Amino acid sequence: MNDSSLRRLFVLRALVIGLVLTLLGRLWFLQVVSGNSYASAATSNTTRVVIDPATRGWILDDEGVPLVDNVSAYVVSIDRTVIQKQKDDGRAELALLAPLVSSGGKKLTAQDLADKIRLCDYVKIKPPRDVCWKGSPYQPVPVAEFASASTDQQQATALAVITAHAVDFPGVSVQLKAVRDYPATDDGVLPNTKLAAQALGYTGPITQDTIDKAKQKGDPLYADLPGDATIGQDGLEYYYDRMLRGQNGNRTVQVNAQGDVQGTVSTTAPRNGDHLVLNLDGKVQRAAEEALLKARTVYAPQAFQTATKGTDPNPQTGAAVVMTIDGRVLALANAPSYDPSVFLDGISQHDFDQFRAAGDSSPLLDRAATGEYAPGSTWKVVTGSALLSNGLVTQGTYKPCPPQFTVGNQIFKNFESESSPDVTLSGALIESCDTFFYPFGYDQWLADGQYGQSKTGKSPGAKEVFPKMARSFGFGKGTGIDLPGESPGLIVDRAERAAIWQANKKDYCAGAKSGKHPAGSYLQKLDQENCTDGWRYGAGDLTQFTIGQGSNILVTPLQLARAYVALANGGTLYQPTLAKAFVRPDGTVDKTIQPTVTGKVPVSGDNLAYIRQALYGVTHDDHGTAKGVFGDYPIRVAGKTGTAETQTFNDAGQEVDHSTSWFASFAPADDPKYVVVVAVPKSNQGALVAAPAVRDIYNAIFGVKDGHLVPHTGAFNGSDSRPKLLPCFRSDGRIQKPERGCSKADTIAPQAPLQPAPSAVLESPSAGTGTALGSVLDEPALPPDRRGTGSGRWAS
Amino acid sequence: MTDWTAGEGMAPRHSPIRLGRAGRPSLASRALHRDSPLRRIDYVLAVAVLVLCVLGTTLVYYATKNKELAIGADPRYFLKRNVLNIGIGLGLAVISAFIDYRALRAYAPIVYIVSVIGLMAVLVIGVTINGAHSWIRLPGGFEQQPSEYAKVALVIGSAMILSERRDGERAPRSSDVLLVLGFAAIPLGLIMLQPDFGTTMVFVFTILGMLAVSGVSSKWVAGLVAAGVLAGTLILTTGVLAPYQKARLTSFTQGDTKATTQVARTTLYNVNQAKTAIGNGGLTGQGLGHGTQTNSGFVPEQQTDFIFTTAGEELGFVGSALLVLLLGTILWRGLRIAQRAEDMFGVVLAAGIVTWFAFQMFVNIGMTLGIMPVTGLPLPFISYGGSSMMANMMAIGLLQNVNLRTRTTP
Repeated sequence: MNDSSLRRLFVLRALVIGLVLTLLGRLWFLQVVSGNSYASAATSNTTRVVIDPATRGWILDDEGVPLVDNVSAYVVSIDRTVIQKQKDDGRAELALLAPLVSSGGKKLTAQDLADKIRLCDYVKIKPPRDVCWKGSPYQPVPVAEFASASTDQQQATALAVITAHAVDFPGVSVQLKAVRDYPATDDGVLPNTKLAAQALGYTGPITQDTIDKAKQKGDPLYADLPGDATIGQDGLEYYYDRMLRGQNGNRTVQVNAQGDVQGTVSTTAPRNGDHLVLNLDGKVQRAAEEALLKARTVYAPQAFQTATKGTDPNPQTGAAVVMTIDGRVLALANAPSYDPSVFLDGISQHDFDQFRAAGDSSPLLDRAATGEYAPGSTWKVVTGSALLSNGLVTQGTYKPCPPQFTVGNQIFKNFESESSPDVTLSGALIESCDTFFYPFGYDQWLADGQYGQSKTGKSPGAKEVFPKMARSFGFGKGTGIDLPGESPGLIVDRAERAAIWQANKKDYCAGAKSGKHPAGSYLQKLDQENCTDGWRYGAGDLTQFTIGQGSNILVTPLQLARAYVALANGGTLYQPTLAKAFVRPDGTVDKTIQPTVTGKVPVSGDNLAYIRQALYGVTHDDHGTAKGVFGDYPIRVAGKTGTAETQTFNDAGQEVDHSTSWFASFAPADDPKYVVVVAVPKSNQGALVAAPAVRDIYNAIFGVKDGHLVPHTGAFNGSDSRPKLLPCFRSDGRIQKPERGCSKADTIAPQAPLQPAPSAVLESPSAGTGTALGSVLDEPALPPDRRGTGSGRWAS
Repeated sequence: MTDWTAGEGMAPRHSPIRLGRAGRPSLASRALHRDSPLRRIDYVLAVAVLVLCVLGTTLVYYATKNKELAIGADPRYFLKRNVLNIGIGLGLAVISAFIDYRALRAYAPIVYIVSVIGLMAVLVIGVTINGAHSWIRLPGGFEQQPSEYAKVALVIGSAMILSERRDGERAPRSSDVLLVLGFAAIPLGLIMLQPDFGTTMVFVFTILGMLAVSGVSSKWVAGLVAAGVLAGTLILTTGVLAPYQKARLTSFTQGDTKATTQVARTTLYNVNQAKTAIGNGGLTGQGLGHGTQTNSGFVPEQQTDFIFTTAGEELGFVGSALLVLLLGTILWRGLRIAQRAEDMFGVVLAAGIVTWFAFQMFVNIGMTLGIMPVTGLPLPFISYGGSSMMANMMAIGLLQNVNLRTRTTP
C-alpha cells in the first residue's frame, strides 16, 4: 500500500472517530443535559386533560323554591380532531348530522355546525358568521342539545338515529349534561314569568378576554378555568360565581399519536357547586314585578287622565325594592324584564348588542341597583334629619309654607303652587311642602360662604349639613349589595362640584364655542355658563337639594330603600343582602350570610321616631299626600311620596318635562318590619303611580285581598315575618319549606346533584362512539324527582 | 491482538500440528491450524454484528408490538421476519466471506449487471413507499430494494477497477478514475430516478472514500469534493428534487416558525417527536416496552428509519451509546482490515464498506438527533428491512473475506 493510501486511511479513521464522538456528544446533550425538558414534553405529548365539569348550584328563594336550577339535556358534541381527519374535513358528516339537530330551538345547517367547531384563533370573525370555538382543541365542542324531557317525537327519533348509527358519525358524542333552567311561574297576571331576571343574572361561556384579564390581575377565580367553562356573567350568578360553580374535576388520560384515549392516568372528582338560598322571596318578588307592570300599564295611564302633572302616559321602566329592616332584600324588581334562558345557547355578540342597545327599555338593566334618579320629596326625610340634628328646627318649630320661594332671579314654586298655613317639619312632610324646606337650603348656602369657594373646591368653614347628612344615610356611594355594578348615585357638595367641573370643563367650553349646539340655544347657553361658572356651588343648587331635586342629587331605589331601613329600625345602616346561605349539594349548610352593619345615622332615636310618625301622617292625616291610597288600608303603612321633575331634550333641542313617581315606605308603622320602595321614571305623581304599586306589594306580603286582611294568603302564611330557617334539601332531591328544622335523615343525601357519568362517552372520543353512546343512553333512568341535575320540586 | 479471539486455551499458539490416528491432520486440528480460515476470522467484527442483530431485533419487536396488537395482527410479526432476514443474511455473509477472492473479481461484472437490471426493473414494476419508487414486490410478501444490493456491486466493482494496476504504478490513472465514475454513474442515475436521495449520497461518499484511499491524486479528491458540493447546491436550488424531498432535506435547518410548507412542518414534527422520544430516555431509559412515545406511535417509521428513537427512549443514553459504539466497532474493525489488507483490492473494498456504513450510520442517527436532514436511510443491522440486512451482511462477509486473505502475523 502506498503512502497516500495510508495517509488517507488515517484521515478516514479520524473522520469516523469524529462522527462517532459527534453522535455520542449529541446523545449526551439530548438525553442527559436536556433530558428533563424532553421528558416533560413527552408527558404532555402523551396525556390530555379532560374536564369533568362540576354541576352548578341552584339559586332558590327563602322558602326553597328554585329560581334557577338545572335540567338535564342531551348535548351533542363534536370532536374536531376526529372530524378534521376525514378526507373532506368532515363536510359530508356534518351535512348528515345537521338536519337531525337543533340548538336553542333553531334548526342548524351544516355550515352552522362547521362554524361552531372552528377554532377562534384561526378565523377572522365577522358578523353574522361570528360563531367559533374558544375552548381547547381537544375538548369536544357542544353544538346542539336535546331536552331530555322533550316529548317531541321528531327529536326523539333524531336522537335515536345519531346514537344507533354511531358508525356514520365518528367523533360525534351525545352526553347527558346539566343545563341552566329558569322555572317559570304563572298566576295569570304575568304569564310565564321568569322572576328576578336582573338580580339572578345569567351564565355564559367564559371569554378569552376574561381569562386574559384574570391572568393579568392574578385573579384565581377565572385564570385557571378551561376555555369552555361556563361562568356567571351578571347578577348573582356573577357575584357568587365561585360558590355556585364548584370545582371542576378532571381526568388526565393517556392518548396516542392519533389522539385515541388509551387509559386514564389520574382522576380528580368534580366538587359540585353550592346551592344559593336567597333572602329574596319568590312571592314578594312576583308581587313586586306585577306591581311594576300594573303601575306602568294601569296606574300611570289613569294618572295621566286625572292629574295635570306628567307628560308620560305609558312609562317604560320601573324598579321596586323590598327589604327587611335588618337589611335583607326580599325583592328586587325591574321593568321591563326578560327571560334569562335566552343566554343559555350562547347568545351571539350581535344579538347581545341589540339587546343592550335598547337603551331606556333595555331589560338587562337592574334599575333598582343601577338606575340613578332624583329622589324628589322622598328625600325630605334626609333633609328633615339634617334640620333636626343640626338644631335648625325643633320638633315644634313652625315655619311658613308659601306658594313660592325666590332666590335671586330664580323662583322655586311649591308643588302646584299650593300653600298652607305655617307648619312644623312633621306637617311639611305630611303635605310635602317644598317652600318649607327651600329657605333652609338658601340660608345654609349663605352661611357656608355663598360662592366663596375656590375652583379646587376648598371652602373653609362650610358646614354643608345637607350633603353631609345625605352621605351619613349612605347616599353618594354603593350600598355594597351582593350584586355587581351597582351605581353610586350622586351627592354634590362644594368639593364635588369643583371636581366635576375640573373633569368636564373641556367639554363644556367646547360646547360653548363650536357649532355643537345651535347658537343661542338653551344647550349652548348652558355649556357657556358651565364653562365659566360650572365650579360655583349655586344658591339654587342647594335650595333644590333640600327637596331632592336639581343637578346635585341622584339616588338609586336601593339606596333609598336602605335609608328608609335605617329610618325604620332606629338608625342602623345595613349593607343590603340578597344571599342568605350556601347549602352544599348534600344538604348541609356551608355558610350562612348575615347582613353587615355599615354604620349608624347621626340622628337621635327621638328625632327618627318623630319623622316616622310624620310619615304615618302622610298616609293617614287628612293633608297626607298618600292618604287616598293607604288611609283605609288594613296594615298601618307609613311612607313618603315623591314626584321628581326631570327634563330631557327632544330632537329639536326643546325641553320636555318628566316626573319620576316615587313612594318609599315601611310597615307596620309602629313596629316596622318591611321597607318597600317603588320608582317609576317618566310617569306621574308619586301618590298616583308608585304609591298604589307599593300597596300592591304589601297586599302580597301581608295577605290583603280587596282591602281586607286575609293573613294566610300572605307571603309568609300569616306570620308577619319571613322564614328564619333554611329550607331542607332532602335526600330524595326534594326541597322542603323551612317550617321546621330539618331532621338529620333529611339532609344526609348522596352526592346530589348527580352527574350521569360523562366519562362513558369521553373514554373513547374518536374510536367509534357506538358503544360509548349506548352506555350513556342505557343508563338507568334517574328517579323522576331527580331527573337530570334536578329541577328539584318544592315538596310541601 | 491478532488471535486472542480464536478460542484461547484450546491450543498453544505455535504448537505443532497434531496428527490423528490415520496420520492425517484431524478436523479439529485443521480448523485450529494457524492458516485455518477459522483462525483468521475477525471475531470482534463478527461478535459486534451479532450483538447488533440481537439488539436490533429486540428494538424492532418493541417498536412494532403495540401497533401490530392494535390492528389485531401478530405482535411478533416483525420479530419473526427480522430473525429470518438475519438468518438469510448470515448465510450470505458466510458465502461472501469464503468465496474465492479471484472468483469475486470474476463475478464482479455479473453482480454489477444484475444490480443495474434490478434498478431498471424497479422503475418499471416497482412500488412506491414513502415517496420513493424503490421496491420490487416479490411473491410471499417480500419486498426487495435493489438499490441496497447495488451498494455491494458498487464497492466490489469500484475496488476491482481501482486495484487493477500495471506494474510500477503507485496510483490509479485518471482513466481509471473516469472509468469508476462512469461505472458508478449508471446505477447512481437509476437510483436518482426513483428518486432516493439518501442512497444517492451513500454512493457519492462511498466512491469518494474509495477513490481517496486508492491513492488517486489529491487534485482528483479535491476536484470531486468540489464537484459534489456544486452538485449538491444545484440539486437543492434547482428543480431536480421533488418539492417534498427538498423540504425534508432543508427543514432541519429551519425553526418551527419558518417551516412554511406542509412537508417541512410534517418533517419538523417528526424530528421533534424523535428528539422528544430520545430525550425522554434520559440516562438509563424507560425500559424495554415502556417508552411512552414509542408505545403511543408518535414517531413515524419507527421500526425502519427511526428505529434509533426506540433505543434512545427505552434504553437511554447507556443503551444508545452502546449501540453507537458497537457500530463504531464495525467501522474500527473495517478500517483495521483495510489497513492490513494484502492487496489494493482489499484495501479499497474495505475502505468503501467503511465509508458506506459510516455515512449511513451518521446520517440515520444524526437525523433522529436533529443534526442531519431527514432521508430514508436505514440504520445498519438495526433497522427492519430485508434488502438492507442482506446487503449489510454481504458487506460484512466481504470484510471477513479480505481479512481471511491477510496473513495473521503483522
